[in-house]
Amino acid sequence: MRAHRLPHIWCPGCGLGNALRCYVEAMEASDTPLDKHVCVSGIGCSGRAAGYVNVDSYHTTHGRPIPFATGLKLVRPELEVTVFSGDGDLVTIGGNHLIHAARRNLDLNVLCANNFNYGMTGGQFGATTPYAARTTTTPYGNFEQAFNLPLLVAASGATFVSRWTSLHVRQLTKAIERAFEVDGFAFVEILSPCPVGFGRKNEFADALAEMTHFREKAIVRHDADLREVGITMRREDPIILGNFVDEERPSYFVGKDDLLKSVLEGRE
Amino acid sequence: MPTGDVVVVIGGAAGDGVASTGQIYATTCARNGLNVTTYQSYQSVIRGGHIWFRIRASNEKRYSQGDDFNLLIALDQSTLDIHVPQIAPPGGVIFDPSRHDLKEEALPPGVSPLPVPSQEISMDVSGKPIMQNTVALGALMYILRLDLKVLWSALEKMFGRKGEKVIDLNKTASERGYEHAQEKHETFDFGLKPTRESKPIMSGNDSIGLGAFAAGVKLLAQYPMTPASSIMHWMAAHSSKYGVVVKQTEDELAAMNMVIGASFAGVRAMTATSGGGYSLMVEATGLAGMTETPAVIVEVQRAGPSTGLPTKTEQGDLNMIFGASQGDFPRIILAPRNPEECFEVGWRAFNLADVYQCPVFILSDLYLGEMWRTVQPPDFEVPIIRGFMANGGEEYSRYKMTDTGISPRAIPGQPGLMFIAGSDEHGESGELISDILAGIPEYVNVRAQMMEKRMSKLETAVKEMRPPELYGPEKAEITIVSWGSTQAAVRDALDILKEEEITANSLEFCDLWPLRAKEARKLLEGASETLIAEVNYTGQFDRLLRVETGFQVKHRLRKYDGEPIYPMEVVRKVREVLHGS
Ligand code: SF4
Repeated sequence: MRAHRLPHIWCPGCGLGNALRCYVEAMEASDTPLDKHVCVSGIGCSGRAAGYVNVDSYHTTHGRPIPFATGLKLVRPELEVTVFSGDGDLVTIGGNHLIHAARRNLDLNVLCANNFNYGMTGGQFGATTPYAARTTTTPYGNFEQAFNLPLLVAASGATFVSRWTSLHVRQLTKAIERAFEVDGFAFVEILSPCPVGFGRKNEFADALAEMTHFREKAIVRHDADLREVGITMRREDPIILGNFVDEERPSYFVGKDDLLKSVLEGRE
Repeated sequence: MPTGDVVVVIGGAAGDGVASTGQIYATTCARNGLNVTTYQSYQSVIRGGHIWFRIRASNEKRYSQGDDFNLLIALDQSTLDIHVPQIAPPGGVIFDPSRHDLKEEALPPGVSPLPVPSQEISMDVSGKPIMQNTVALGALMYILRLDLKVLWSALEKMFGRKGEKVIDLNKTASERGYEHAQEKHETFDFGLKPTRESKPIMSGNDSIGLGAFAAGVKLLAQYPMTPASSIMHWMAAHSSKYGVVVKQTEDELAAMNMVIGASFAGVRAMTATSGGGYSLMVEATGLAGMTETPAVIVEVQRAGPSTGLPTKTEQGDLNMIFGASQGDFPRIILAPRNPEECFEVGWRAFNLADVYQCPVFILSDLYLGEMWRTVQPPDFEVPIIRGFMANGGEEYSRYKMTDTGISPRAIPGQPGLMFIAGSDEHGESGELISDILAGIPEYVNVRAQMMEKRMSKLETAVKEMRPPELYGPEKAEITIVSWGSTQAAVRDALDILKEEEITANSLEFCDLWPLRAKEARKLLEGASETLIAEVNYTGQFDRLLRVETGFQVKHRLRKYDGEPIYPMEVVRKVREVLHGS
C-alpha cells in the first residue's frame, strides 16, 4: 500500500478496500517479487486502486486497462500483470476487450470488482446491474438483463474463472494467488457492496444490510453449472461463489511458441 | 452602502450535505424573487475531501458567482481553516462551537463570529444530529432578514417525498435556529429586496434537456460521464412523462451510433457526453456527416487532456469538435452562454440538424452545466422545423443535387422512397461509387459534386446562424470578446468597470460554426481596443476568429487551471491593458 495516498476516497462500507487488501496480500504471498508485479486499472471507484498499491501501476483511460495490460505483457512476459478495475469499466464499456482477452488466453489476471453500478459517476446502471434493480438511470427498475460474468468469461476461453465477495477475505486472497500461478487468462469476479451507489436505492438500509445479505446468501459451489450463477434481485436467491474453472489450456505464449517452432522447422 | 447582493459559501466534507443545503438555500432565494447564481467546487462525485457551494443572491440580475463572499456556513473544521480568512466584510461565519474551533485571530476585520449550537438543537428536536444544517439555515434566514416561511416552502420541496414528519421536524429545527440567532446575533443589511415573484431555477444541463423535450426529442442515448451525466439523470426522471426513450449504452460508440440509427428512422435523437466520451464518438460523427443524417451531440467540456480533471471546467474542446472525424463535412457548433440559452440551443439544435441534415454540437462546459441560476420561465411553444422531407411522386434520389445542397430526406418504410445509405461515397440515388466505379472519369466528377453539395449546405446555414451579440454601450474604451459560459464573468466585470469609470462592452459568441464572420469583423474593427477571454491554453476561439475574420484580437486572458474566469480577473486585465497597471 502507498501509505501517503491513504485515506482512500472510497465511501464508508464500500467493499473495495477489502478487495484491494486481498490483492495486496496475495501479491505479498506470491513467489514473484513485488517489483515484478504490475497493477493496471481503468476509471471508476475501483480504478483508483492503481494509485494505492505500492507496485508499478498504471491508471489508464475508461474501459481500456485490458488492452493496455495486453500491450505491456506482450513485450514484458516476465512481469506479473494484473488488471484491477470495476464492472462498468471492464465489462460494460470495456466488454469487447474482456472477451477478446479471454479468447486470446494471454497470461493476465483480471480482478473485476463488481458493485452492480457506476458508483463514481453517480450510481447509473451498467451491464452487470440485475434486472429490475434501481439506479439513477433506471428509476423504474432496470429493464435489461445482466451479464453472468463467470459464464461469459469461461465461454470466451479463460483458463481460470472464480467469484468471491469482498467479505470472503481468505478465499479471495487464495483465488488471486491462484490467478497469479496459472499460465493463461485468469478472471476473478469480486462482488463488492456499494452502499452509496447501489445499496441505498435497492432497499438495503445501510452498508451493513448489503454486507449481511452477501454473507447470508453466499454458497460455495466450485462445480456449479455456470448457466445458473447469474445474480438476481430476488432476496431469496443464493449468490453462488467458487473457483469455477481451473483448466490447463495452452496460453497465448505457449501456443505462439509451439506454432512458430513447427512452422520454422518445416522451413528448414 | 448595501449593494443588494450577497454571496454565501457553505463548506464541508462530502457527506455533510453541502449540496442539498446549498440547493435549499438557493431555492429559498429564488422563491424570494431574488436573482440567484451558484457555483459548486468539488473533487470526486463519491467521496472527496473538501467541497463548497457558493450561492449569490441579488436584487439585480447577476451572471457569475461573484468574486468575494460575505457569509460562511462551516460544516466542518477545514471550512473554518480554509475559508474564514477569505470572508469579505461586512460578513460573518455561522458555525457550531461545540463541534468546531474558530480561531478568532483568523477573522478579517468587520467579520463576526456567529456561533449556533446546531448539533444540540438538532438532537433536541429530532434526537439525531442530522438536522444541524437546517438549524444553520434557520439562523441564516434571521441574519439575512429573510422570511422563515419561504425557507419552509423550500424544505417542503426538498423533503416532500420523505413525508410530513420529516418536513415538520425540519421546520422546527430551522425555527429554533432562527430564534437562536434572533436572541444572540445582529442582522446584516445587504439591502436584499425579496418580492413575491418566485423565479424558476435551473442548471445549464437541465435546461438543455428541457429544450430537447420542447423540440420533441424521442431518444437520448448516453454513457455516464461527469459532467454530462446529470442530463441523463434529469431526462430519465422525466422520460415517461414526455414519452422519450432514455437509453444508457455500453459505451459512447454505441450511444452515437444509436442516435444515428434512430434519427435515420425519422425521430429526433441526441447524445450527451464530455470530451473523453466524445473522443469515442468521432468516427460515428463522420457517418452522420456522410449519410447526411441529423444528429444532436451535447458536449459538456471538462479539463483535459485524457481523464484530466473530471470535476473541473475548461473550454478546451473546440478544436476537437471543429475537426472531429476524417475528411470534410458540414457541422454546426453552438456554445450556449447561460442556462436560458441552454434551453434555446436545446431546441434550435434539432431544427438545424433536421434542416441541414448534419451533426449539430452543443458545446457547453462543466461551469455552465452545473451552475444553477434563476431563469426566465422557458416558453415551451418552440418552432419545430423538420426540413426537406420527400413525399413520393417522381423517382426518388436521396442525395439529389439542389441549389442549397439539401436533398429530400425519406424515412425507411415509406413506399416508393427506397434508397441506400452508406458510409462510402455515393451518387445521387445513394449508389456506392467507392468500389468498382471510383476513379472512372465520370465518377471522379460525382465525388467532386457530392463533396460540393454537402459542403454548400453551410453557405445556406450561415445565414441562419446568429451573429455575435454586442452587450453594453455601443462605444467603449475596450471590447471584450468571449464565447460560451465566459459571458458570465465578462458581464459582471462590465458593472465593476463602470464603477471605476471605464466603459467597456462585451462581444459574445454563441453560434461558433458556421461563423458570421462578416458581422464579427465589422464589430471588431469598430472597437477601440480588444481583449479576448477564454478558458483554454492555446486560445482556440481566438485562432478560429482570426482565421475567419482576418482580425487579430490584441490582448488575451487565458485560464487553464480548472477554474472558471472570475469577474475581477477580467477587470484586472482591462486595467492592465488600458492603464498598464
Ligand atoms: S460509490 Fe460505491 S463503489 Fe464507489 S466508493 Fe462509494 S461505495 Fe464504493
